[in-house]
Amino acid sequence: MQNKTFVNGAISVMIGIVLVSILSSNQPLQVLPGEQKMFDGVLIENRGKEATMRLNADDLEQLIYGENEIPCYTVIPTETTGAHTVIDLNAGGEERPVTWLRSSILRFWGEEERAQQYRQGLIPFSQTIGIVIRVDVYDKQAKVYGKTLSEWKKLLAIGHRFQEGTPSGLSLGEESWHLPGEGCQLFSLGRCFVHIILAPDPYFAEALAWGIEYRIQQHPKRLGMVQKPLTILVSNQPIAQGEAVSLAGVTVAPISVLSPAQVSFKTNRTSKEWTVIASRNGKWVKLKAFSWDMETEKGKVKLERPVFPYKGELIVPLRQVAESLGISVQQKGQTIALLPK
Amino acid sequence: MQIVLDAPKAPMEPAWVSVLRISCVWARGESTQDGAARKLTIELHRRGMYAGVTFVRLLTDPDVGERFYLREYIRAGFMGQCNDFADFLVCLMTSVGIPSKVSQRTHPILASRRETNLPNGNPGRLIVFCTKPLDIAPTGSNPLGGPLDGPQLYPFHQFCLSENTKIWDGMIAFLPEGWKTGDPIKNQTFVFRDAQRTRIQRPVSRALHL
Repeated sequence: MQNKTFVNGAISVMIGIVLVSILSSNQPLQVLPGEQKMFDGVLIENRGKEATMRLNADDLEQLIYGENEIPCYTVIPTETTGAHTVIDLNAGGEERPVTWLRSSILRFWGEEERAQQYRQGLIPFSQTIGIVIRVDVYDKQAKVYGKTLSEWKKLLAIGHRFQEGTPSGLSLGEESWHLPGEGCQLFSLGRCFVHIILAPDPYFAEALAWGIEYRIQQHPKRLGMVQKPLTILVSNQPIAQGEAVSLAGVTVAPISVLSPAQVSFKTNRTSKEWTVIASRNGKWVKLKAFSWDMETEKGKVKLERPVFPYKGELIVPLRQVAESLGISVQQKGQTIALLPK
Repeated sequence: MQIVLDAPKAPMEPAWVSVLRISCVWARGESTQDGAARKLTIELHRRGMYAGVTFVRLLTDPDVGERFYLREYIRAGFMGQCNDFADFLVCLMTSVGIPSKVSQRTHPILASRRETNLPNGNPGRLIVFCTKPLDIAPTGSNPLGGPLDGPQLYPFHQFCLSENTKIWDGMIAFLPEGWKTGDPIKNQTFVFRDAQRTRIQRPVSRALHL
């Protein structure tokens, strides 16, 4: 009896340890108001001693591309902080009266080869950096805090150079503007303000921006504009609930939603590129992360929205990709039916 | 411990530790104000990046002063506009005790204040700050409006001004007449660079360190 009790006790203890491990690995990074901490190259500061927005670091992380999610690029720490990511929580909440609140995430990426040279001390940070993105979340609509083109033109010495909209002419966010000829794109959407500060070229900057608009719309804390949920049906069965989003009138969704329509996939994800080849009945399409084109057996096709990654998948314009694979798409209201031919 | 030339001056009075960590390293070894100022300017030019972002907010009267979000600027890795560069250079210099550094613009921002009399006595208006042609890109590039050779135009430019009216500019370099890419650069000239021009200008900026 004693042995049995001991064995049971030992097993109970082991289960307890496993549970604690699982729980602690799923806990969001905790930084208390007034504290600043560094976790694996992520500098987090919580300024909310008097007021908070109830957003944590993980909430901000969901709004931006992952550290190795952009092919050919890797995060690089700045020389000043040693951090590749800076998360600023509850700015404005330091002292009363609290008239504004903002939480933001700022991340730096460099091309992989340059990042190697930078780590070896061969080149400075300014020659390494290739992509910089910042996403701000406010307690009210971002435009209330002057995140508009007209205010931007007043505040910056080069304000006159900013042009409304995007290089493609598509309508991004609620209001968007960019620097023509340069990889700089900005937009506001709900409580969010997104600044693609630096990117290799204007269309890459815009593609990055579209991916962030998707993230904002998908965010569990409803940071974007309210959209009526879209339902995708295959053989009258709903699939991929909540994963399809309308980006300025074009529905995008993870490419895997086509799987029930007899589409097979071949994914090639390396540090240099991320492609998916989808095929069905002799037809095929090849899609690439951050590309505005898709390759098909008939040639190259310009996409209505760029391809971008999200949670391990490539998000694609649904109708164009489906129809290229011989799948008819019919939309009625918020329901999209995929009809394999 | 950080050793400085003199007690820090406003606006870095008291000096921010985050600024001293930078200024004391960049100006290491200098024992004169001009020497330290030059080193700080060259380092900021080398490490800074001109980009479509700013950490400066204009006041209600934009020509009276501005608010500079120093912590955010440092965290962003010295990225910004001319006013960010100028304001940060003021902070760097005053943190090591160099006195009376102000951030100076070439033009007022408000259009109504730009009206002036031309040399011929006629009324006129200050339009842009325009540099002399800069030789920063391969021969044959578009001379105007892009990140390439030629004069660069801005509504205004901003730089750090010392009390003896020396200009310290961590963003734009003014090259000697006839200077060509690859020529050695003398003391107070620095090379213009920004985010998109970095790759083009590398051969020129490397000349700084010959």
